[in-house]
Amino acid sequence: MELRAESISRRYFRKHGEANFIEAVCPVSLCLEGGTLTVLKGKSGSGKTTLLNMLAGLLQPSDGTVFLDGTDLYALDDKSLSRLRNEKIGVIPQGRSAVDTLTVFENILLPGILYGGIPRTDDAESWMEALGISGLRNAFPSELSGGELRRMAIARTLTAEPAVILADEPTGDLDDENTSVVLTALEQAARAGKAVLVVSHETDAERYADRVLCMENGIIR
Amino acid sequence: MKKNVFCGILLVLAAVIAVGSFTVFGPCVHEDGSEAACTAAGRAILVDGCLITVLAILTFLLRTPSARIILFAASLCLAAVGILLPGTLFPVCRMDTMHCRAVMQPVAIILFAAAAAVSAGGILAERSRVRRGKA
Amino acid sequence: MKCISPVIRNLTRKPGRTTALVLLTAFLALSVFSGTVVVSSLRQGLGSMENRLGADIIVVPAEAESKASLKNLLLQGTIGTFYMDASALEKVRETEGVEKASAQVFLSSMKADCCSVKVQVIGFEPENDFVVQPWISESLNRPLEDMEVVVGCRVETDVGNNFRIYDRNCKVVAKLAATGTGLDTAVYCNMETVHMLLQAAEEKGITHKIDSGNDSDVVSAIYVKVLPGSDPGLVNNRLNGHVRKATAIRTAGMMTEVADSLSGVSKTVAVLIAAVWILALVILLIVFGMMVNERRRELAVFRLLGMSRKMLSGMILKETALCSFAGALCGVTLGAVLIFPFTTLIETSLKLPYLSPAPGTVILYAVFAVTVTVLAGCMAGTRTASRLSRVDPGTTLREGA
Repeated sequence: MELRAESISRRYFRKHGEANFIEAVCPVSLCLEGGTLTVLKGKSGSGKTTLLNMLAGLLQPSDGTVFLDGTDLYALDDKSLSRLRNEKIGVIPQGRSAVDTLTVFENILLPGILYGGIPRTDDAESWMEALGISGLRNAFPSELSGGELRRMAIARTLTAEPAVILADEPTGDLDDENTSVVLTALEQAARAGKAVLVVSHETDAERYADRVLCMENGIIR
Repeated sequence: MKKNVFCGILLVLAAVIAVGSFTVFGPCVHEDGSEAACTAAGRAILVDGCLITVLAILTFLLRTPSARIILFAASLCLAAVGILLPGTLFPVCRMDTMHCRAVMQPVAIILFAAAAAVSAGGILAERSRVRRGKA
Repeated sequence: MKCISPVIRNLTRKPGRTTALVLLTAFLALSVFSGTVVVSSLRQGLGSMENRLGADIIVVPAEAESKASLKNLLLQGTIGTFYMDASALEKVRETEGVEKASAQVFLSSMKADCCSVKVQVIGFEPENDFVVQPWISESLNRPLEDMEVVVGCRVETDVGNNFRIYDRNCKVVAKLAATGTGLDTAVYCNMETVHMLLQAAEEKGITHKIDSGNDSDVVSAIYVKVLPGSDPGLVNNRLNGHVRKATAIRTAGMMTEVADSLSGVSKTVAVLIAAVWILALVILLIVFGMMVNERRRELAVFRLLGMSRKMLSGMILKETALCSFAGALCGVTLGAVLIFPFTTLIETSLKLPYLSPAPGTVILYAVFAVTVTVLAGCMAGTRTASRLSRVDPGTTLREGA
């Protein structure tokens, strides 16, 4: 499994200011291989989330290409790309990412049933147990704290068993104990052969990483 | 707020039945002031409407679900009887074009049917509250 | 994916939004269904009245009230009692251009057994009649005998019962099919019977005639059929000149007046329907517009998890279609509850012939109302579905993180 970005960049045009555009991500080449956990750190506004979204197939790069096992993501039509993302790329976004009208358990099962698959109830229950949210099975997202919502999003991604996991600040709302649980789970996923990228400020995350990258002003150093 | 929706709707319906039964959809009135065949039906509708109004008020005042279930059940029975009042239990005038046949009977039946449905809804809502409380 | 599951959840977990959509579409369906049924019933009533009149010209006594009385009798069943000399019938028959003429005598009962009010009794000549007889023949295939009556569909009695008028017992031998006109509340008998009843009324001190004399010497209305090829207008003028103390009325003119009133009501109904639809569609578009902001984040999550744009629009349209369908069913049901139990009230309020359509036709109207409402709801939601399907999950989920 390999997610490879070749000279991808992202520009945003603006109406006012000195230049016509800002370059959120300068040309970056990056390869995420299965079985490795990569940590990407950097200040706010350095372009980490923009890079993650381009790698996830959610944001078209201004230049460059992203390949997943040789498939050019952005050459696919929306239907094919969406299906590919559902099956192979798991994203844990920075913000709140729950469907409010479904229970916690249903949210966790959702990726697996979008295309008519069999619900992975056993996997879901074991991840809920591991992340300490099994008691919230029938609760609705509006009843959860920020940390519980984050753990639900992580459980959802891990249950779906994608080949690539892209996590944007997965431990942001969590205490030390749960931070350790989450990072351990992501490390285990990497050991199981998945390509894992974790965007994080936490220095703790570096202990679990096979590789640490630093992003500043849109450039990876 | 949710728990008072059925109480409120039932109260409004019952009040409309009670007031309307001697105003808008009252029984026929003969020119000479004599009682029509449908006068008894009109009175029965008024009494039934008043009884359901009292029960609806009590559902607001009593807080316990079991008491409310009993009150809604009683309203349901009274409303079911109300559907039968004009034409079945009490006679109405025989000409199709008379006010009691054209207005009183259909309006009373529709309003009592609505009251019965709301009462049934109230019973289900209170039972659901009890179950959620136990859970 | 079994889209129905999140679709149903999205509807049930947002009861306020769902209720608003259901109510709006209910109004749409209610207006279309009710308006269509009312206008159709009026048209059927008009057609029925045209069939039942049968005559080209009706001759009534010369008093100004007679014409209005006849119209009220035909449209609303209001009791009419007016008389002219029976010799007018011969004069009418002698008039050039008249093919056939048949007389009727009107009588009002006291409160008959069947009813708490008076009923209209209409005596006719079975041997000469061409107005009532064809209609009666649909229910009774033999001549009407003395002291036998045929009742309109709204007279509350059954075939075989006795019908007591002025203490005289008449036997009900047939009940007529509905016409949607005032004739549904009338009782029909032959001339001998009506003259006996006139005499019985006089014995009770109730005088019907304007001039005293033999009861056989009066008629209330004479129905005239014009010779084929003759101009009814010319014949009408001749009758007005030839028959003293009588007025000839062209039924085409009466029908035109009724048709004009019906047209006025139809236009009013059409305007009301248009107003409801414009208002409801505007509100629908506003509600859908509000949905765009409210649901962006939720739908961004679906996109994030791999739902394609087409699937996402499909999900939103399914929600819209379900709401519209539920609302349409409610609207049609409410329309049926408001219209059919109150048919008599509508008829008496509009003062026009009113005949409800057959059940099969009503079902067709209901299907039509539901279909146009669902289509309208889906069309209103299409733009929103398209906008929402293009939500950018990366940017949207980051907002407010």
